[in-house]
Amino acid sequence: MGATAGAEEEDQIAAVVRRILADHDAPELMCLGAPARGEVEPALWRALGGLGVLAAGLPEKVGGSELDSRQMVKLAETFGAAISPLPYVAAAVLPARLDAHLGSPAALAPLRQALRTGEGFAAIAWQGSLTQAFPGEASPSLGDDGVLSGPARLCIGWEDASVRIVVAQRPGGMAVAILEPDEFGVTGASYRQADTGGAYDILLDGVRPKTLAADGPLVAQAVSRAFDEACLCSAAYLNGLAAGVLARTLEHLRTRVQFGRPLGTFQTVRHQMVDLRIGLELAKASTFNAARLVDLGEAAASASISAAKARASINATTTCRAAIQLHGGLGFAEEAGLGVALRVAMQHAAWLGGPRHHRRRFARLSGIAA
Amino acid sequence: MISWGSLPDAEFRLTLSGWLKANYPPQWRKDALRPFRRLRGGDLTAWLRQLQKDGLRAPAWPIEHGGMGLSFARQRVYQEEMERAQVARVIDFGEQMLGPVLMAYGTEAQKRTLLPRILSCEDIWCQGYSEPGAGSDLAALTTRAQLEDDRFVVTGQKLWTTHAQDATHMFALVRTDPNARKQAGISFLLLDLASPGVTVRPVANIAGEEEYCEVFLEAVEAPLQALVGELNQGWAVAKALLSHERIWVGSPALCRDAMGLALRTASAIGCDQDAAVRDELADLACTLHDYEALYSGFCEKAEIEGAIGPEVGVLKVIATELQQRICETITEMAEGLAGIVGPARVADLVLDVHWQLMMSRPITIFGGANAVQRDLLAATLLGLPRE
Repeated sequence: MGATAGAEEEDQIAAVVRRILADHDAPELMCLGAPARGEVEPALWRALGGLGVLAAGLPEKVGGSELDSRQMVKLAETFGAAISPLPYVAAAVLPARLDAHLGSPAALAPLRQALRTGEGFAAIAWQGSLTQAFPGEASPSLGDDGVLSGPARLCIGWEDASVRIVVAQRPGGMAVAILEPDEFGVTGASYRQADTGGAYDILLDGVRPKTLAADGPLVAQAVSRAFDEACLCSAAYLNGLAAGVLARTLEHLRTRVQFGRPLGTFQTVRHQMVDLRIGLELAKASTFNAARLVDLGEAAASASISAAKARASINATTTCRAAIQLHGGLGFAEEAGLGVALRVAMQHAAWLGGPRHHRRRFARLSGIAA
Repeated sequence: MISWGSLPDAEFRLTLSGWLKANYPPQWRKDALRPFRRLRGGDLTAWLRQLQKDGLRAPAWPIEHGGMGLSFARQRVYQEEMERAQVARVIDFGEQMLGPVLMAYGTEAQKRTLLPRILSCEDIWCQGYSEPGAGSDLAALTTRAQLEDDRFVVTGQKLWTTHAQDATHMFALVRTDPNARKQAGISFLLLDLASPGVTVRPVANIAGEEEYCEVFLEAVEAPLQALVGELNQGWAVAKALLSHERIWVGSPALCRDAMGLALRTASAIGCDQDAAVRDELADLACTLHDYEALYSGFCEKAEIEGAIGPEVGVLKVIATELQQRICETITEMAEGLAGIVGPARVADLVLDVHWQLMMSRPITIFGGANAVQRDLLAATLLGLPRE
């Protein structure tokens, strides 16, 4: 992958992103009572685009920074800590890495343009059933007649997207199609997601896409790698989120006084917080280890990504649930924001496969289980 | 003799690996029956003397004191190769605890006399710290050392003294000033277990072995030179562990042994086709994988930065609790074998389910009870105020 920036440069990028996210911080936008909005906050998305943050995962030759996995992980952590209303991993990391692994085909130029400028964003349809963690057999199918068919569930931002991509399965492999505005399939149910505008169930029924971005025996592997890397960044996002919630909870425990003493002096509370910190340390170690293996091109990378995603998911949801508990009555109030954190954690924990799926995948890939 | 110090990194590992293959007796290897085997008594002494003969004794000790003077990175390789060769666990209190104490606080005479005798196993040391009334709250110890003209007279009782029945000497924390505040009245004293007034009584443990002991001290005399460091400064003296000991106690090695046994047990019993069992094993394997990543990170940090912060305390907590979980899973999978005391054969495996489960119990207590560790971490790592 690309050249490795020093730790200092990593921190600089993260610091810049943190500042932009803080400038645009509007926690009330994330609350349940907030009015419905578009998938991305346009000004914020544009600001990030302009700084090259959205295109960071694109190859350098097409205007990206081609950050290595370690840097992508640090960046994703920063987004997680801010819990901002952006589908950063789904609409920036995943499309960029998909483009990179497919070799930046000409047909994906609109996707790259959107990432470079922050004008518009890409949505990807691939999930045929709720139990499907990655693209594969259950994805919408592309027949030999060039017709797409099948359902795709929970497509993030499908209605608002400026670029619509379908990752389809076909006999012997996979294909990636980019759809024209009049080509996209019947939209079924629409949902509000925790951190994004909407997710949509679509039905591709007799759609014959004009443009195939990629087709052939190598596509499946490229897709697999891109989704693995999105999974890794999702783990990192969850770690950032958990770290932020943990820090906030610690501050609460230091200052909130009951029975004449700070809550943090009670032993059950102290021990619970140590356990949450231990969980975070394990999650971060697991995630950085997986990033290291990706950057080394090691075969063991996929298994490690699964371990990291499982750990990060469990840790983040556990931490958020504990935070609600430790904040007493306030934890249950929407405006306190702890519900927002848990909601976002739940979403990311489930996306691209939950802990049970990933631990099974780890076991399979490590040769522990058949 | 191989000049270990002059070998480049890759060769050091290879050569050590080869040496272990040639010199470590197969019958002493950790195996399915004794996954946490520990070398004891005559076996331990023989092994340590063999290591010394070939220049492999005391890897962490400075060369000037007779050790190998290995860098942290090489110490890690040393540990890894020992684990790979399934070398049984070695607890050498002289090497791991008393040596560093003497190097930091001992007089020249003490260092000159005692350090070589530790290495040669002429003196075999045990640790006399805990007492019936002073376990986690060690500072509450009451074994009294009365300073008379030219000697100390020691009366009291030590408890949970590991391998005291194999030892020739005991280093002890004793109270020399009963009027001072708890930690402030404690001294570090070296005792000869052959002295009149010493009674060592092994205590049977729930695994069916006698590993630790009561040590009764009735007016046991010790010369003034038996004091290490200043009078009433024993608490500080006892803290002089080699800094990296706190990392080694968190080694994932025993968890790896347990995990390997868990997988072999699942296969032998035939429950590895059960989805719930597979999920449990996957969960444990993932946790071990994540922990190994964390542990490696700590090692790398220690290697680069030298010092380690309070966060190192998490290692012992995680490793011991993970090992217990794995042992509990083995027990569950083994069904009725769990009720048997002693070995039992299942398929190609000979297991002692009871032993491995019982032996996993004390690890969360010894070396600093995990509840106490958590409280310490809450203060040092999280900055949460104490009461």
